[in-house]
Amino acid sequence: MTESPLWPRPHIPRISWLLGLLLSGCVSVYQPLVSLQRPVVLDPELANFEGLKLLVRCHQSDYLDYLDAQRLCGKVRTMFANQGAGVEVDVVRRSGAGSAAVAEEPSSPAAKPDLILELKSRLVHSENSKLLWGICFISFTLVPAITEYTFSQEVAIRDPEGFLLASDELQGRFVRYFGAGTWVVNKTLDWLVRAEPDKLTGSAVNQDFSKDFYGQLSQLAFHARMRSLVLHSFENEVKAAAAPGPASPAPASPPK
Amino acid sequence: MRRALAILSLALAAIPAGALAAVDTAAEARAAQVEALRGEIANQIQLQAYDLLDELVYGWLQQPVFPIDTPVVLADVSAPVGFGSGLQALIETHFTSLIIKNPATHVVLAHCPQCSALVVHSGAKGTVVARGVDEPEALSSAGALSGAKHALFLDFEVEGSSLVLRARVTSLQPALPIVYARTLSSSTSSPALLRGGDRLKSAAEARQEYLDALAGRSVYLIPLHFGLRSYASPPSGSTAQGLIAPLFWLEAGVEAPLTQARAWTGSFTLGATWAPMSHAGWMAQVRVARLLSGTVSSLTLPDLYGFVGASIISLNGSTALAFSENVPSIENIIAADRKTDPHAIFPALQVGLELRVKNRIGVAVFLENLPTMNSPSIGKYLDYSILQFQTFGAEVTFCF
Amino acid sequence: METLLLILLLPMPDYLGRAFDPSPGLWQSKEEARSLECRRMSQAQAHELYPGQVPEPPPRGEFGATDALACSQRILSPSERKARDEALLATLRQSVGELTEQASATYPGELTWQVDAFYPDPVVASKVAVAARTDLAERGRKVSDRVPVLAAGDISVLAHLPAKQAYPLACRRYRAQHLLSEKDAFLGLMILDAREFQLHAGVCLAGEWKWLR
Repeated sequence: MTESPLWPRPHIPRISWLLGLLLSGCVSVYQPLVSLQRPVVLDPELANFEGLKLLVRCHQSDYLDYLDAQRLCGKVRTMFANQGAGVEVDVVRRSGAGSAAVAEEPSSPAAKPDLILELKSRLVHSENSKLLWGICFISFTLVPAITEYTFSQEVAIRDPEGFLLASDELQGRFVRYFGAGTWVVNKTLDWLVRAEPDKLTGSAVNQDFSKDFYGQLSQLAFHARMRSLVLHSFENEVKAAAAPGPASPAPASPPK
Repeated sequence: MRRALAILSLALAAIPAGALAAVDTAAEARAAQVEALRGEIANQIQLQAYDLLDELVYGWLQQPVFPIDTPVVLADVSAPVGFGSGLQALIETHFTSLIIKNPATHVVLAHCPQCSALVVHSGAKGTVVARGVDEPEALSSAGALSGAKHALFLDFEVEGSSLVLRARVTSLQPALPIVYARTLSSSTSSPALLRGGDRLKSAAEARQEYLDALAGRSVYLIPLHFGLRSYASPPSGSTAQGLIAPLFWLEAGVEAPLTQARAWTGSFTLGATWAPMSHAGWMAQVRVARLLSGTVSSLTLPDLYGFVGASIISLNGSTALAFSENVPSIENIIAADRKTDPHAIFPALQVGLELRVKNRIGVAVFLENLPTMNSPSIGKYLDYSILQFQTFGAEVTFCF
Repeated sequence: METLLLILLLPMPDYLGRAFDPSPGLWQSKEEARSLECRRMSQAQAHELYPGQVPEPPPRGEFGATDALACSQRILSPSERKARDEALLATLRQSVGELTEQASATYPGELTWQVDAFYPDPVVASKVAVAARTDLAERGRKVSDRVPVLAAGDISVLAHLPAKQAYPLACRRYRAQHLLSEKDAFLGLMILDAREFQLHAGVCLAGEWKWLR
C-alpha cells in the first residue's frame, strides 16, 4: 500500500476512532417483563380521575436517587393531573423523611387524599462487560458494547387509613448497544424496512416504556379507586367519573 | 483497512436498492409467518389440551370419582375464548379415546344428544327454555338421559402462557350439585412426549423420567476420532514440493465435562497413524472445548463446540523426513529404506470447531500450528505473522 | 484485515448467547417480544424449572452473581382478544381464587353456593362463573350448577339501576321469589365500570347483599 502525502498512514487509526465516535450511537431496546405488557383498558386521555385527590409518594433508593425520584413524581403527577385528579407529591428520602409540605397529617377529612400511591424502585439485574467495551474501542465501535439492566417498580395504592387497595410489581428490561455498526444497521432498517411502531432508534424506547408504565399506573389507580368505592359502600360514588358499564345483574344467559 | 472500508461502503450502498424491493415481500412474508404461527399455536394448544386430559384421567385412575362403572354424559366441552369448534371436536375425540382405553376410571360415557340441545319444558311454573343438561327433570321424564345420572363439563381457557382445564361432574338432580371438580394448568403439566394414552403416568413420574434422561448422559465419554491431517504445501519456488501426503489418524481417549451440563469439556486422547512403507507414528493430545450453541448441551439438537488443544506428535519413516529442517534428498530417502529410520517429534497447537449430536457422533474441523517447525517442506495455510497455521484437519468422532 | 477479523471474532461467544435474547432487535420484532412472558429468577430456581436448559449452580458458588431470564410464549398474542377480556382471562385463576377464598372464609357455614358472573361478554361471563364454581367446589364447599333466574320484568328494572342499588334489590327478589333458600348463598362476580378488568364480588344470603371486594 503506497503512502499518500495527503492521507499519511499513521493518522488513519486516529481518524478511524474519530469516525467511530462520531458515527457511534446508542441503540436502546426495551422489553416489558412482569406486568408491563398487560393490556390497558383505560384511555389515559380521558378524565378518568375527575374529583380524585391523590398523593403520590416516591421513595429514594439505591437505584433511584433523590433527584430522579423527584423527577419521577413530577411526571406521575402530570399524568394523573391530565386525567382530572388533584395530585400532591411527596419524595421520601432513604432516611424516611418526606417533603415538608406533606410532612404533617392533614387536620381535616376534606384535606385527606382519597388515595395514596407509593412507588419504590429497585435494580433487579445489571450487566456491563468491560471486555466488550475494550473490544468496542479497539474495533472503532464496529463491535458494540452491550449494557443491560432490569428494574422493578413496586406500586402500592392505599386509602387514607392505610388499607392496601391495589399493589403490583412492574418489571422491565433495557438493553443498550453502543457502537457504530449496530447504530448504522438499525437506523437503516428503521428508515427502509421497519414500520413506525417497530422502530428501535431515536426516542422509540422512551415512548414505548412511557406508554406501558403510565398505562399500568393509571389502570392500577383506577382499580384501587373502584375497590375503595365498593369497600366504602359507594359513599363517594358521585366523585367517580360516569362511564357506561355493566352495573346491574342481568343473568339473561342460561346457567351453565 | 482501505479494503475493509470499501467493502463496508459497497454493502451500505447495496442496502437501499435491495431493501426497497424487499418491503413488499417483507410484508407478504410477515403475513405468511403470522399464518404459520397461528397454525403452530393451534397445534400447541391441542397438544397441551391433550396433556391436561391425560392428567385428569390419570387422576381418575388413582382416585376414581365413582366406585363402580357409572354412565356419565359429556355435557359440554368449551374451547378457549377466541377458538372455534374444531378444537372442541379434537378434545372430545381424545377424551373419549382415553376413557375407552382406561376402563378402571369407572366412567362410562353415555350418549345424550338432547343434553346439549335447547329443550322447551312446560309445567306448572311456566314454560322454561334451557339446555337439556340444565333441566334434568325434563330430560328424565322424556327418557332422554340414557340412564345417565351425571354430567361432565370440560372447560379450557388460555390464561397468559398457560392452558387451564376446569373439569366438573354434576349430578343430574334438580339441585344440580357438583360432585367433583378439578383445575389443571399446563404450567405445571409435563411435556407431551412423555405420555401415551394407554400408559398414563403422573406429572411427577414424567418429570423424573425427563431428569433421568438428562442425567443418564454419562459423565465420562470414550471418544474415537477418525481424523485426517493435511499439511500445507511449501511456497512456490521452494525446492521441496508436495512431499507430504495427508496423514490418517485413529485416536481414542477419554472426555469429561469440566462444568455442569457439558458447557466446558476436556479430553485426553492417544492416537496412532500408519501407512505401509511410509510412516508410523503416535500422538498424545489434550483438548478443551466450549459449547458455543447455548449454555447447556441439548438432548435433541446438535451442539457446536469450539476447542483449543495441544499435542505431541512423533513420526517414524520417510514421511518424517519432511518435518526436518533440511530438504530431503535422495540419500536420506535411500538411508530410510536401509532401515536407518528417520524420526521426527514436534508439538502442535490446534483450534477448531466440532458439531456434535447427542454426544454420540461428531464432526470437527481444525487448524494446527506447529510452533517449532522450520521445515522448508511445509508451507502455511494461514499466516497472521504472530500466528501461523500449517495444518488443516478434519475428523469424525464416535463417543461411547 | 486479519487483525480486524480476529477482533470481530473475539466476542463471538457472547454474541452467540445474545442470539437467544428475547428483547426486540434484529432477530425479533417488538410484537414477538411482547408475546413472551419473562421473569428473572435465580439460577437455582431456573434449574428446578428447566433442568435441561439451565445447569445446576455449583455448590461452592460462582464468581459474580448469575441469574436467569425465563421466558414462556404466551399462547395468544395480546391483540388476539379484546383488551379487557384478555386482561381478565390472563389472571382469571388468581383473581377468582382470591374472591372465592374470601367468600369461603367469610361464610364458613354449611351452605350451598350458587355462582354467577355479570360481564358484558356472555362467553367470558360463563368462563368466570365456571372458574368460580370449580374453585369453590375444590375448596370443599357444596356448589350447585344452578343459577337463580329472575323474571324478565325484574331484569329490565334492575338493568336501569346503578350497581349499589341493583345487586341488593336483586338479592331481595331472589328471596321473595324463593329462588334462594336460607341455606343457599349466591356469589356474584362482576365488573362495575367498563374501564376496569378487576372482578368485584358480593354475596347474597337470606335476602341480604354484602359486598366482599
